[in-house]
Amino acid sequence: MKGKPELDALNNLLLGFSVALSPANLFWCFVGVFLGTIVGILPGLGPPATIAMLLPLTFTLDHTTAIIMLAGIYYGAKYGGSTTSILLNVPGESASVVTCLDGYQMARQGRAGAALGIAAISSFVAGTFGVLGLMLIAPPLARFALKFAPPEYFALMALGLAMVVFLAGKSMIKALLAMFVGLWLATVGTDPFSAESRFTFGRYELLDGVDFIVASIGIFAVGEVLANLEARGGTEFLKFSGRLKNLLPTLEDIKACRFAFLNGSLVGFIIGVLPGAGSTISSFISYGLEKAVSKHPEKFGTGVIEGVAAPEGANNSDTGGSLVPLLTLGIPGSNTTAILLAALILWGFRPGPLLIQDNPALFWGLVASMYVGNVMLLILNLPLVPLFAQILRVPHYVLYPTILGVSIVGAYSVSGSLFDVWMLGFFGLLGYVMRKLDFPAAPLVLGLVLGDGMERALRQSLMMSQGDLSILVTRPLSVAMLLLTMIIILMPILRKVKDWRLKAAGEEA
Amino acid sequence: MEPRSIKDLSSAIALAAFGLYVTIEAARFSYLTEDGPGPGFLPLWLGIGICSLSLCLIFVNQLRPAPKPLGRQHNWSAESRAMSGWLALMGAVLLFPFLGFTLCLVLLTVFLIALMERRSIWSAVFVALGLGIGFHLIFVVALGLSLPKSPLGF
Amino acid sequence: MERSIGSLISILLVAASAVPLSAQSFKPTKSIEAVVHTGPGGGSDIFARAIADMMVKEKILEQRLQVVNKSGGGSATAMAYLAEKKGETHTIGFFTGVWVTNPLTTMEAKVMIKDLTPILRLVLEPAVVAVKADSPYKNMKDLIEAAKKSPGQLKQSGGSVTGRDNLVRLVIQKATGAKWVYVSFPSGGERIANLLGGHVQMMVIEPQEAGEHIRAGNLRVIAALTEKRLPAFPDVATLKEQGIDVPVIPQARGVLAPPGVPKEVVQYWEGVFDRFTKTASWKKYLEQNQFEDGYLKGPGLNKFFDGLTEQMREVLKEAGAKVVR
Repeated sequence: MKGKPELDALNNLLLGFSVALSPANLFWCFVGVFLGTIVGILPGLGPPATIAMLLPLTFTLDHTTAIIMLAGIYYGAKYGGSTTSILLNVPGESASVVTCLDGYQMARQGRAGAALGIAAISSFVAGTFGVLGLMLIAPPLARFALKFAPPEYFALMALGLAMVVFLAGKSMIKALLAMFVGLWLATVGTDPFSAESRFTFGRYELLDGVDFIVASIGIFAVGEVLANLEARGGTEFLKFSGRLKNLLPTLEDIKACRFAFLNGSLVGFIIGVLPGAGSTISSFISYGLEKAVSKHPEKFGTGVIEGVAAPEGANNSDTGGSLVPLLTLGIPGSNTTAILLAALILWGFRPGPLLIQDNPALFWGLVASMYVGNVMLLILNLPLVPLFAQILRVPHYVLYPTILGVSIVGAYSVSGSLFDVWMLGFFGLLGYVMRKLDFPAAPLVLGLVLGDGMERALRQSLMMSQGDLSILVTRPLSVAMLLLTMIIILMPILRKVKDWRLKAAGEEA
Repeated sequence: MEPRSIKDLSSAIALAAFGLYVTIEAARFSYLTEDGPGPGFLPLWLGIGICSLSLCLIFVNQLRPAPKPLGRQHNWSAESRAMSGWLALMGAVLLFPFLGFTLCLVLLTVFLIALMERRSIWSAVFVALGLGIGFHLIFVVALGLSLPKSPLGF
Repeated sequence: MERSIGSLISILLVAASAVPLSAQSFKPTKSIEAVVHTGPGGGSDIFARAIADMMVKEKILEQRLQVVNKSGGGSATAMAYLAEKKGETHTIGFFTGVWVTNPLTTMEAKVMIKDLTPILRLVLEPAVVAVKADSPYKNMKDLIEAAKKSPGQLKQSGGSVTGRDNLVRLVIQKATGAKWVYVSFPSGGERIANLLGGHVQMMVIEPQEAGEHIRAGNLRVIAALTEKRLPAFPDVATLKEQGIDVPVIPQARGVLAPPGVPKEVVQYWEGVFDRFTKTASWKKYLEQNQFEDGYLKGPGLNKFFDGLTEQMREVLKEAGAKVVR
């Protein structure tokens, strides 16, 4: 019987809450988000591996409870990933790399508490938005996502790469060089279309390319430690007063982040829906967008609170988005959703277009519990913020070896191979050298993340069109994104022209 | 206007050489296959791009005014401290298969604290042991990660 | 004379006592490492975990099977890892077809499947050809004719170019003279998404992956890539039945051990899996996942590997892929 759609959704949601608020589900939801936060804090250990480890445990649980717990781990990890990024410049999760840019700088200025707090709040707002989106517009959005073919993905990657304009700092040339090196790093490994191996130097460990987490931990964390070793006694972290003002974001901070909340929510969710587009891209794009509309763009990178709020929001709302193709079409969009898919199959569910119809309790229970989970995470994380911020009180000579130790563990646990730790050392040196020579690190990471996807999308598109380049510019969606990319790339040039004309006019007068 | 920088010049030259390497290597792969761009397509353009950008950097750098002469030699002690730290890290990684993660971390910490910060060797050892035990407890015992072990079992 | 009889008797005694000893001389004393080449959630990972759980349920193994993920470079990392564990009795590996083809095309993958100790083959994963439900192609004939009319216009989504999806395409192209494009996507999700979105016209897919989309009415199966029709799709004809005479390219899964492992260990595992494959859980698992029982061991298994390696070499060479071994 088809009633009014709003009533349907409401009824279903009530059904969902009745499922989500049962004591067992509440408990396991809590376990999930708690574990997820810890997993997110520890670099190198990601949600996929954790979920796989916990799968045997779920056989004893009711299936709806199990998926609630596993999903909790998924979005809990996004909350936790920001902690080490802000405090130690160690990206806990690939999506938290962008948070390192402004978050760590805020910590150095004694505002770690505010950064951690806004990360939690933004994650809550965006995460809730993601669940709303999942609940209300999942099926039509999934159908929209199917319209994305390789040319659209190429345009999206190009848009992502255009973000280099916002990560450039003083020298655009150096930023571009860093990005090109990152793009080159992305080509290392087996070429998927011809099975030839590029730049592997004969090592089979490089067949899958350079691991992104190892590279980012190396460049950011280890590079930072090396740079700090220069000064005897290390560089001072500004002592912060411990007053509540610095332990949590102020009302002004929250007001300043109004747009960032919206930005993170939308960008993260939409990109999350696209299978294969990871949460890392959404955090870069939302950071770039935030900087583009900011009244003080030049301050980004020095510790601007919106620069933390936007990407943190994006990578949380992205979780809700990535569940859309999984739950409405049975298509996994990322490594983590692939395991969730496997888990669903293992439990006897049949993920596909009919999953919601056949198992309303599962879907709506999950949706409702995500609301609950986001609230739990906020309540869990906010009080911990002052506690975490105290970590920075630890003297440098304890902190640096700790960071190195955590980085090594993180790099090693990516695939249990010592080779990754050697790579960590290499990237640490690279990060240090780049710092000394004033090359920005973020564009390199951007190139590394997007290079693979962009090359694939380009070659897939040309395969589909049999070499006809026009396929890239004849489809409406991709044209729209490419135009946006062009505008973004031209912005600094236009600005330089404007400055030059102003200067010329000033000299004349 | 910023002065000419030897840093920029040397990094640009190094990057130009790297770009050349990438271009030459990329030429080994097929540029175009019957299905579209081949494996050599992107690396070739990246190599060319890196070379061109490096040349731009050299050009822009040369356009800047000459730097004021410094009068004193650059003191490399800061960099050498950082590099010794890096070498110590590499040494620790080298020793992992033999001494295991925990012991290597302890040794690395001792080195970093005692030599870099010039604190007493005892406080260094004390902190290092604390860190080693802490790491072992958290990562190996509580989380069950399998980190390299020494013959002693930890 | 007495001395030689004495030595003969002692030799016989030793020989007699050695026989029953070797038949029971191996029993695992700690948990067994089961190496897979995918990360958590990947096909082999799920397969191995399912088997480990069934072993516990049916009490076939006293020790636990511990799944160890050694992903990287296709199967290169897992195979290199196993090759290093020469003689190790408490390690096994779960292989798939990739373990055979990877070393053929990748310089860095130095370990070949025959360098390891094959134990047995467990299943053959069938595949089907699927198209969108509202497409004009009702069987392979429609598809082949359309491809012949406009060569290079039809598109197939699939995984790596050395994977089964593409190899199937290559042998069909050779046999029928049709030509269509192969677009490689790293994840199964993207492959299906592109098919559902109409950006490609067909794909080779495993029956249980396709199952849900067929039930929802989004996909249609037009051919079974097997010797006999699949029980879940009794109306779908095989390639041979549709007049396309090509060898079936199997996707096999099975168990092997590191090199240099003594014969008693191989015999032990043969015994374990002999009992295992007769259990009810295993039979149910085969049915649920629509696997073909491909149980094969001993010399037949070696012949299978040799045959498969040669077949792969030929197909890859004809496809223009660089065969390095």
